[in-house]
Amino acid sequence: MKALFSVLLFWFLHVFPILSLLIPVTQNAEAETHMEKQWQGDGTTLSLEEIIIGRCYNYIRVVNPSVGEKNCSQIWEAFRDAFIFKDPCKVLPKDYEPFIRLTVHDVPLNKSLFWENSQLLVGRYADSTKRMMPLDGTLMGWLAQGLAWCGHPGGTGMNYKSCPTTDECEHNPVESFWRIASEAYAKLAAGVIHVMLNGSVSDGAYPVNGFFAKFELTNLIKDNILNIQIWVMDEIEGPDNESCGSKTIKLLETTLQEDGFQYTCTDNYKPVRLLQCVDFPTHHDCLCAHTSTGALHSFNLPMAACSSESPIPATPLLQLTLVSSQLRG
Amino acid sequence: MAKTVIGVVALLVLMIEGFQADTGTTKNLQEIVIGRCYNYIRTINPSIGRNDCNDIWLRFLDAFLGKDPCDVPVRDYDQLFSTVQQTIPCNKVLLWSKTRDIVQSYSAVTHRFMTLDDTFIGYLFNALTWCGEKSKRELDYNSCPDWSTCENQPVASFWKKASEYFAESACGDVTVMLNGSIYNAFSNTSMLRSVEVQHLDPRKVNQVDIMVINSLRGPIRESCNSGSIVELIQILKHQGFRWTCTDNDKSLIILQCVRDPNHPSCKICNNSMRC
Repeated sequence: MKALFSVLLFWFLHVFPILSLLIPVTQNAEAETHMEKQWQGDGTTLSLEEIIIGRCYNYIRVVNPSVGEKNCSQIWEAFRDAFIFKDPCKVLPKDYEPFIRLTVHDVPLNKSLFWENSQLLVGRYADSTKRMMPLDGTLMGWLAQGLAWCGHPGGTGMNYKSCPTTDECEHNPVESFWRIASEAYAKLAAGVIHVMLNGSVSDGAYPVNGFFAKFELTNLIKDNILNIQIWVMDEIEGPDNESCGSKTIKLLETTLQEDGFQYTCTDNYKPVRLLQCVDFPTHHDCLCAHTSTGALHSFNLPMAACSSESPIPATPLLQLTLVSSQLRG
Repeated sequence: MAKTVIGVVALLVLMIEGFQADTGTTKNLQEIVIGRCYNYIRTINPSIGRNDCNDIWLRFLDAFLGKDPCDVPVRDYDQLFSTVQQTIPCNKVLLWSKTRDIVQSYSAVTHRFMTLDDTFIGYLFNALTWCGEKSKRELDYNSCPDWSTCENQPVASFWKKASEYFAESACGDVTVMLNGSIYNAFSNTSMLRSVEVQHLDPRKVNQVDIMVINSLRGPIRESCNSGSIVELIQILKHQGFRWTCTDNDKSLIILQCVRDPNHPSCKICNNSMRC
């Protein structure tokens, strides 16, 4: 009797816990923690469906109601069906065509904003579509920005553990999405369009293999474009590596000229420069004048100590502006 | 005669439609709130800690569903606020009055400050409308009473509760932004005066820094040593807070310059110029 009891106790104390560790832990369909980490990129964002449907309704009810009524569940399904249960290296841009058709809407005249190496500044300047509408300000960009996603043939069809980077394979769900979204966005551009580039980067302010060069510039509809404004923004504490008229910017200008676009180029376009200055108010690249600070000073309008500048958008002192040869009369 | 009747009926119908055109509950409120919840905890601020989005939604509904929309007192939201878990970092709280535009731009541009709209609970419900009907388990999408028509309106009570919660959570240095280009910058009827300043905790708050902003193009109506702002300073003194007051912080001038870059106050130094 005692022996039986000891055996049972042994089992209870030692074997059962070990057995329970062997049972795969799947608290909910989303966890799939038994999967191997196969790829180098972040896995699918958790709660992807709720996030996308929520962002969709938030966009059409609050952010930009002018786009009208959309079926957000249908939009989610079109997005999901592009990659779910598929090999994450075999998702093509055209797999998102149904999604693009359901989400496409007009971009207001003169509000298109393209960019390279300036994501944060673009987001701030755009001001949630109030000032500009970059790709992330359109419904299709709004839904996907900052998220990760990919599928795999088994389980729930989604891989929450990891997703391939573009270095690992070109036709991955995220890369293919942004390619077709960029193309669609470029085709919507009308009026005066804007391009923000980073003059402080060392590997090319205008990357010839970047999204703008490969998927956007090539898809602009020339008849809809009045003029292209290039802004080359240096970082406040950063080096002035590139400017209008030189290096890769010159390459962009030449390309635009050859393609028959009217364009202007401005170094450190002032309204955007001012935005950069908010974080560096006393920096010598920012406001000229000094305001009184400190406790209980009476109000003093800052006295401008610099020599006068001509108003925007004319040529400011010491800034280079290139105007294309086809001036409008 | 028939034509007159038809005309009157048509007019009545139009009038009723007009009343119903008052803002009702935001359509797809549930998807928006739950979506914002997951968006916040998964992508905006994953370090926020455990929060159950469905639970939050249900506690929110409990506060006002099935009640007369003029009978939702502030305390009916207590359960919701105790469910939402977020630690507000010290030295970042920004309170404001009549400076909505600039405050929203400022906190979008720099992460130096946190307004109520930047907190988890503020983010969830910002720019939305909701109300129920007595004895009905449904949201009223047709119309909700205006804030001014009854004191215990569901949205008004929510924001009062949120303002209390936000002020009570503040620790370290607290910043207050006021509009120096209007009279009565620190107004009796403002949420700032009637709720927030009252709920600052002297055991947690080090100092209150008042920033008075003037519109770039003026006028100058009130300042640190004139008008209602002086009353704020008196209140703070009386409650035992240390305080400072500044007119025209440079960052805020620059921020206004973004919209008005040709204003004389907005000249930028170029590298080769000495200023």
